[in-house]
Amino acid sequence: MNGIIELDHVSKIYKIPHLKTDNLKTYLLHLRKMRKKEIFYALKNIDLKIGPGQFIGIIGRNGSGKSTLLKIISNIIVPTTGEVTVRGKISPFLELGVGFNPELSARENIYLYSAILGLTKKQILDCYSDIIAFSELEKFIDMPVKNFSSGMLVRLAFSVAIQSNAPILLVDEVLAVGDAPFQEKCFNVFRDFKENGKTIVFVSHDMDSVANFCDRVFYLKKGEEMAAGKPEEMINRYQKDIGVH
Amino acid sequence: MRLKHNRPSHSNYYLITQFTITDFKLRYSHSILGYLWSLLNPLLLFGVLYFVFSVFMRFGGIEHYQIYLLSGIILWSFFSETTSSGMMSLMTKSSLLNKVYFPRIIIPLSSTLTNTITLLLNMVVLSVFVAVAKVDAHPTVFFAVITLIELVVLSMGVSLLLSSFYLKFRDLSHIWGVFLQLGFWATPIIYPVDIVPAKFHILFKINPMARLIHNFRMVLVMGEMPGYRNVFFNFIMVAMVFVCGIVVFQKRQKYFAEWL
Repeated sequence: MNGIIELDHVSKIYKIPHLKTDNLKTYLLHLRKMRKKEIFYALKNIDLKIGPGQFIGIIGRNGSGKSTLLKIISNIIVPTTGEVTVRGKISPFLELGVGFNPELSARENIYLYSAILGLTKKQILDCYSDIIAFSELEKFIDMPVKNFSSGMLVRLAFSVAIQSNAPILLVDEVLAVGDAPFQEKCFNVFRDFKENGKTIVFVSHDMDSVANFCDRVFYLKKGEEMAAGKPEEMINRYQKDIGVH
Repeated sequence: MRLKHNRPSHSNYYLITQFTITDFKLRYSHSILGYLWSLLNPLLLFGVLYFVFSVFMRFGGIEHYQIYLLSGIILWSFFSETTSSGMMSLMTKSSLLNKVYFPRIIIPLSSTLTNTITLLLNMVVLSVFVAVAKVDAHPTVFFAVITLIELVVLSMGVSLLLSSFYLKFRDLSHIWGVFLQLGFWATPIIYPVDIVPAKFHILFKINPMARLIHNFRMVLVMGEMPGYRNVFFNFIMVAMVFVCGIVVFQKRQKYFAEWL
């Protein structure tokens, strides 16, 4: 199945109250103050259309709304206005290994994490040996992951995540941790995915990989989509704006 | 605002069982001894209350007071622990809420199921007590199963309600703690209903926990079936709480990631 993402005039407004509270007492004591709110646009009027087999890069400074955008695409937060259409299952690589439990062994975590990513029991059993082979962690499979290094954790999580077989992949700066050979291995996987017609959205500050992989780049500036176009062009504009070169 | 997320083949059942089993394993840290520790608390409470209320003061006229007391404690502590941990369940999985999408309702549901495993183990302990106390076996015992199912569904509904409000109002845990304290004494767990003046009986009629505990003991110890009206009313009460929980939860769930 092919993955399609469409955003139509999507805005995300955060209403920030003058007094922020997470308890009932303050809320009741300061009812009037709570109603005064500052409006902040995390995303403003974003239109986006991504078809099957596209490798899309999203660049922009911190706070420009990249992560908000990914969260809206993956249905973690809902937009205030606008329409989001996503066809096809999403495999989020937003933060690898976020569902891991440190007390559990690598084996147990593989089952847990694949369930979180939406795999069925059968799918997991089918690809279990592939996961372990890819992660190169055979020896440590019954060790609690609290003893793993951060590199090992990423390897384990990445190996599970690529099995999810979803047509859409959201990748948010996840490859920063692994060593060079493993990063190379990951990029090979992404190349394969791309050839197989998967839709990939890649958020990164690493301009080299963006230039290397993406067909098209969106440059986000303060929540408003500045521009979309060829990678080199967008990267140049971005680097000019932040004062590199 | 419109959202169309077309997500086939998300295996929700598998995720529920994974969460449930993982939480259970972690709670009892992979050991059978872990479960025994968790039994210590209700058994200690039982021991103390039994001593106080059958040696110091005596409630006359209760057949098999130890079974009466223990079943009340087990059912109540299930309710109290399930709703308290259910309330926190979204918070304890907050990192997931922020990063991965799956139906949020899975979290409080599996939290309730984890506690249900403990409840079933406690039922084994209770049946040992029942055997030792030489309570006659009644065919009505099958109805106890229905009562337990109602108890689980009721606790699930309350957990859904509490968890969806807890993210916004963190002091709810204190309020609920006080409420549970009150509920323990407002439910006939240690005392028989007939020592309470009739004008307060309305308290037990509108309290679903009092009704469930009462039915449970009735079919287990006395071998009497509850009347049709009683059964019907319990069913309606439990269903209302559960449906209310689901509706409120589903309405609020889209903002969970923002409230963390």
